[in-house]
Amino acid sequence: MDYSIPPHALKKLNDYLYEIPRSFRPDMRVPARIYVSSVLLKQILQDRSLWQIVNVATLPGIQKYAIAMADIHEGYGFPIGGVAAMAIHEDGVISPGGIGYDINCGVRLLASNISVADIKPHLKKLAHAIFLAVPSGVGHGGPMKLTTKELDKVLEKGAARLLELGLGQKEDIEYCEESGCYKGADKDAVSLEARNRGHDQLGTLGSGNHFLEIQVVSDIFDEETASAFGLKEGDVTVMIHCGSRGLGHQVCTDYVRTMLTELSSFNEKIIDRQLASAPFHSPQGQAYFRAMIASANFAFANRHLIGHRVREAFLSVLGPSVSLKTVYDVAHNIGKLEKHSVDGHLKELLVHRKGATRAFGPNSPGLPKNYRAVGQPVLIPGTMGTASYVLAGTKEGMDQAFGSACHGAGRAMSRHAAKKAISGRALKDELNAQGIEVETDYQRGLAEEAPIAYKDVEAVVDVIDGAHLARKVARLKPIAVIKGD
Amino acid sequence: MLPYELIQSPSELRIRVNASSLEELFRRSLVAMFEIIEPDFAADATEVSHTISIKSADRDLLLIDFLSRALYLSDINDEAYFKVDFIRFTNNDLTAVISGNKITGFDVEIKAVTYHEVHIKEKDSIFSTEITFDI
Repeated sequence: MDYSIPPHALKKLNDYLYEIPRSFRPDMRVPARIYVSSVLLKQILQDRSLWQIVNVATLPGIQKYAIAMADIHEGYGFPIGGVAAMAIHEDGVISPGGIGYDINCGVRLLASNISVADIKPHLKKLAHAIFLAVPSGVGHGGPMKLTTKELDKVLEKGAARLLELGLGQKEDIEYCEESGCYKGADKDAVSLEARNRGHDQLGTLGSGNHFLEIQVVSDIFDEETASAFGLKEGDVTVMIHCGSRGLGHQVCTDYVRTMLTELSSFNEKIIDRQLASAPFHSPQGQAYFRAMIASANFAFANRHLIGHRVREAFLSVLGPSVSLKTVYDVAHNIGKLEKHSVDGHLKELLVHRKGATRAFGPNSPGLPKNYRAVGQPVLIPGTMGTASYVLAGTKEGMDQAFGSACHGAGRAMSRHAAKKAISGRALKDELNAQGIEVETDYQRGLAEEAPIAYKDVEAVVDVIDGAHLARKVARLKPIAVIKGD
Repeated sequence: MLPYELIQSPSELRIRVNASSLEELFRRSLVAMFEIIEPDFAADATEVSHTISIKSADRDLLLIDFLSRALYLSDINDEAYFKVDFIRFTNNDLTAVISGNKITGFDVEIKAVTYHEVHIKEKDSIFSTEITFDI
């Protein structure tokens, strides 16, 4: 099979946007649009991600465009860094592969009232305290073992259940997408296997690219919006990147299988079985949708509990005058029912974001009242040696990309190649030399996530800002990295 | 003929498995998955086994469903499996005993075994396929 996209198939619409027209392949239902610069495009053309976004453009019910973000890279079925919105009242589908195995993988950002200068003498101790308080690493469970009944409550109520138990603060929920509880969960749609994998994983970080960082606000690009978000240059922040752990992985596994087995005729012609889908209103589509929501709630609760544990560590090391407030918490692997304008009409769509962050503009529904005038915080984790970004959603992003932006720097190198390029020890030394503390018990895993394994986050964010999908608010530089094995 | 080889991929882990029979392909795929995760064996490395039965639409799905089941059992029981005895094996269902040892952890987390581009081919009496793991 020919996976290449010939250069002439890519039509440049402006400096940040290319299009593969519908005429490129007869099975495309909509064009594919790629938000990218000419420099990043060269990198992207080295893998099969654009061929994969063309495949997404063939799915039933897809509206306007299949969208690729600047951090796109090859995945399985869907590329990572893509958005696909399906019209649910016009035979649109839901695809578990379009949301990903790590359902509601996302980012929580907390802002402190302490400056980098004040934290420096305590940084090593603080990073170690967080490392001990937040279990991380492959398969590692946490101290909280949920009974079936208690897990059900988390699946239905998300982070709100933990607040009921006295864990966390009211504001943690207020400043979270869906207020930390995505409505419509069906606990009974979550298999026993998924429950077994997740029951001891609440409050745990996991492994791979998941991380926890202590950062400093190094640059402010938009004072008014930064102030609304509670961000001040020189102050310390904490970024948490993780998802629904084994529970979400199993839910995705279960429902891709269901769709391939029970809807084999419906999925007969798909080009890649990982693109398996179900009509949104079918029993299988609804069961997956409600299990996915339950998994998303588990992930919101997971980041909520980690945030709470980090706050406890801050208080224990730095004393009671320190505060740590949630700026926002947002998913980048999720399917959301949203209303967007299509051909001048508002339509209810299921927006698949796989490696793409919701980026709602000013006055969008569901935003905390402090953020309504400036737009939603869009949290873009970078790499441990470079920077992460806070952006704000825009009206243009709502119109162009269903209120979506990129989700990170985007991998450019395999984990194997990264480990060959740099040792964990050398990377740790390099980070230490930059003044970045590292807490991990597995240095080879650290090397897999080395900055060289990723695209240039500055270049990726510049595309998103230049295309007006979201605008730059602040740059955050890591001062301590906590990672599992 | 190598039992399996790693294929470079930016985001996930992909292998190509080769074998002289379909059963052997399943066996080698299981062993490959647990070699890749690099398990740390428990001090006593107690031997464990499970009987599993899988029914799928075709042999491609059967392979992925077989590996997914083993991954699930490994995850919840802290075990790794390197041996399989097939009690029943057809193109769309199997019953097997998978055996291995208790582990304390592993270096690579496989989140899931994907259905991405799995296609068992038979050429000159050699069965082969690619398998993609989400890590």
